[in-house]
Amino acid sequence: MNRFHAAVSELVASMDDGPTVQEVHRRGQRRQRRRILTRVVVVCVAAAAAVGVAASYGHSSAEPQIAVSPTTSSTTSPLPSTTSPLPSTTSPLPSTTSPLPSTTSPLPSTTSPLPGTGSMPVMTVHDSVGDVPYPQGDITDAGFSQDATNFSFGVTVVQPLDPATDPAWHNGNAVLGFSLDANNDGVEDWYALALPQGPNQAAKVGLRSWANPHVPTCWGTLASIPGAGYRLTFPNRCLPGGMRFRLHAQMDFNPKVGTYKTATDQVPGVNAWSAPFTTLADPLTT
Amino acid sequence: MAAGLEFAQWYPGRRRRLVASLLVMCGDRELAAEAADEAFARTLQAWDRVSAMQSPDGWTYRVAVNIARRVERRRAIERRLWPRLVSASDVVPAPAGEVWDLVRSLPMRQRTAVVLRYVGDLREDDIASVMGVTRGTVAATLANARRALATILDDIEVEEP
Repeated sequence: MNRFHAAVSELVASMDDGPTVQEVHRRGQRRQRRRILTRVVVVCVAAAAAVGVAASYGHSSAEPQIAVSPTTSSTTSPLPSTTSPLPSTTSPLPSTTSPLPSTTSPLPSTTSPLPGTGSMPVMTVHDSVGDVPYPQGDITDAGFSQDATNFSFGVTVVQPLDPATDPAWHNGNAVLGFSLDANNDGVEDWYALALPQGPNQAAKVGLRSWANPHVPTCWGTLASIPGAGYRLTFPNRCLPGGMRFRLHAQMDFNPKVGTYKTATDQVPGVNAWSAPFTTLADPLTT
Repeated sequence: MAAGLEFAQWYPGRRRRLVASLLVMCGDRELAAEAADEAFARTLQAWDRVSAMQSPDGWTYRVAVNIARRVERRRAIERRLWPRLVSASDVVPAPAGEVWDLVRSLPMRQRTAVVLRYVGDLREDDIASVMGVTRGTVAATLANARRALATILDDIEVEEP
């Protein structure tokens, strides 16, 4: 046997047998369920969009309402009443492409008002202080919330910085990410990231689907909450309505510019996930 | 037809070669395993149709290679979009060793043909199906690849077609 065939034999022998037939079967079933769910979501979104368009053109006398899933989140919900109608059905829908208002006030209490108004999401996922060496990257809490137009992921850290001016953020030594497990299998199905691009440049904030790489990146905004932490906000159309998911927040940080290695704080822990949240069942999807 | 039973007879042992083939092609152990597992899941789902084909192996390899290439393309885009994040999660190309370095140095088409033939143990018909080319092209590509490898590896004695 020559070297080539010996290398092939050695390589093949080093592979494991992998999943059993039953596990392959279960994987196929999960895949099938996901495809069906995707189709249902697409149909629901299309139907909701059609109803919204019709209403905005006065084809319906009934004012559209924000329907909220009975399990909006596992948190003490920061959302408004689920039965309150929108202020006006004839006015155009609010733009979701505009940046979030600048937040100059310190972090409000955890019973804060709606996201998208300069506040942080209610923090329901907690993490110990001092589990990473740098307080600038030491997450203490994480949370999710949603209003009629946007949803937000947020973290509080021991010593927050301003991504617009801090060198660690500029050179990529500070990265904030959120993973979403939408099918309870412990594997992320979506991820959101904030990666500032440099001084005086807006951060790139994206939300992507792992499960479906054909879904284009959905862009959001990064807000720095002085004295508190950071918040990523996206338009509601970036996630399916009524999606139940678990959250995992992660922040990489090293203040030393030019150093590649960063300390990583994972909340609620390594390979751990929060209690489930659920996106609004029928939000505005502009 | 007892599709589940037939798949259960066909599946054992095949994953090793498929994962090894993908590993040589893409250099990422995790991606190779994931693409292989996904391909087998799709094969099982479509087993009634796939089992009636001349070669279920060719179909499964084609699905797996397509999955791996799609992920690689996506990573290339993300590498441009978020360079630091992707580079941080990059893995060391595998498998290691002089032989595999030489195989990786081949042009993409030759490398794919060599891997599918000698690691995946596929027939030329199946390789043609996976690569989307004719059998003659596969034969010519393999001949060129063997010459390229033999000039570097004196002791390589791969068989002639």
